[in-house]
Amino acid sequence: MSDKELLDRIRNKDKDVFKHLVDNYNSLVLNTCNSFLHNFEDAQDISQEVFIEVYSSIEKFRGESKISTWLYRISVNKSLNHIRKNKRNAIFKSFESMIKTQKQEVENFNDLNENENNSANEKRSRVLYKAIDSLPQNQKIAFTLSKLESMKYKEISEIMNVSISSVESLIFRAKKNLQKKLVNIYKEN
Amino acid sequence: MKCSEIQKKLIFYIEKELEKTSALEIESHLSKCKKCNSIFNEMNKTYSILNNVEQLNPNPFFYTRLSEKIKEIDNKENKKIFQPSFIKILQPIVVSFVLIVSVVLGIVIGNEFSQNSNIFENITETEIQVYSDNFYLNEIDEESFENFLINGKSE
Repeated sequence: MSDKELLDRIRNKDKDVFKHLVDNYNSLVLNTCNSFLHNFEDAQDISQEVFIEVYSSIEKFRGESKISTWLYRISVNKSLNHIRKNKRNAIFKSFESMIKTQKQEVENFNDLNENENNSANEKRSRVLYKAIDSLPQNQKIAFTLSKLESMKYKEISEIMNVSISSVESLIFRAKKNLQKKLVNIYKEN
Repeated sequence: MKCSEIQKKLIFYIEKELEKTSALEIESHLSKCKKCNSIFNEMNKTYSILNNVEQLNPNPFFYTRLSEKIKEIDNKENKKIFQPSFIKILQPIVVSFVLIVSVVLGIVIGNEFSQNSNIFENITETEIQVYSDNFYLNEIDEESFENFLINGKSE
């Protein structure tokens, strides 16, 4: 079934075809959300929101891009909104926790020296994801899609609606920033 | 190359994105400098995590939950669609009904009042004179105005 036919049938509320779309793209959406959220439960909740959005806004989709590109775009936007909402809630929760998160990167790295190798990787990944999360939004999107989703620059440029050279530059700057953050953490120890 | 310059290129060295000469320079520096070497090792271990990210498998009941959620949303939207249209239709009907009833009621009461006022049309001038000569409009005795002024009060 072609993308156009699939979309037309979903527009006509064909539940079987919608199930077919969910089955085909569920893994893609879930893993994209997880690349940004780093949490399985949150990624599942957000992928549900992504498919609800697909179902309710299918009329607006003109089919100019591939379905996968459209799904990636919704997944990225929903995940970033979720992160933003969580950050806002955290600010309201307590000022203390805000200070804690600022110090956490260094604390996490300190813990690396104290614990076993098994948990060391877990802590390394926490440090790494925190550093990625602190990147400017466009750099974070381009870097995450490239490194965690192994996407080509062309695909990323279609999802982000920017040129390929912009994607290259965003990823280059993301790497530089990431390196700076990581080196600072290592130096403090 | 200085340590600070080396540290600015480590991520690109790990990614093998550097030219051969730069890569060789970094390699020789790392073999001599303990500090840069330890930073490189830690960064390499941390950064390589990105190459070994596990692919998640979706929950087998994902679609069941999703379709339940969509049903809920559809039901809510149907209610929303029904309510405003119900109000839109019912409100003008009730308002116009109340207006019509009040206008009709006003006409009926007005007619009733004008019919009652016609009773006086049948009374002749002489009958009015007879009434006014024989009956006072109050129960106070008749007295002249001069007497009233002299006595100050009626007796």
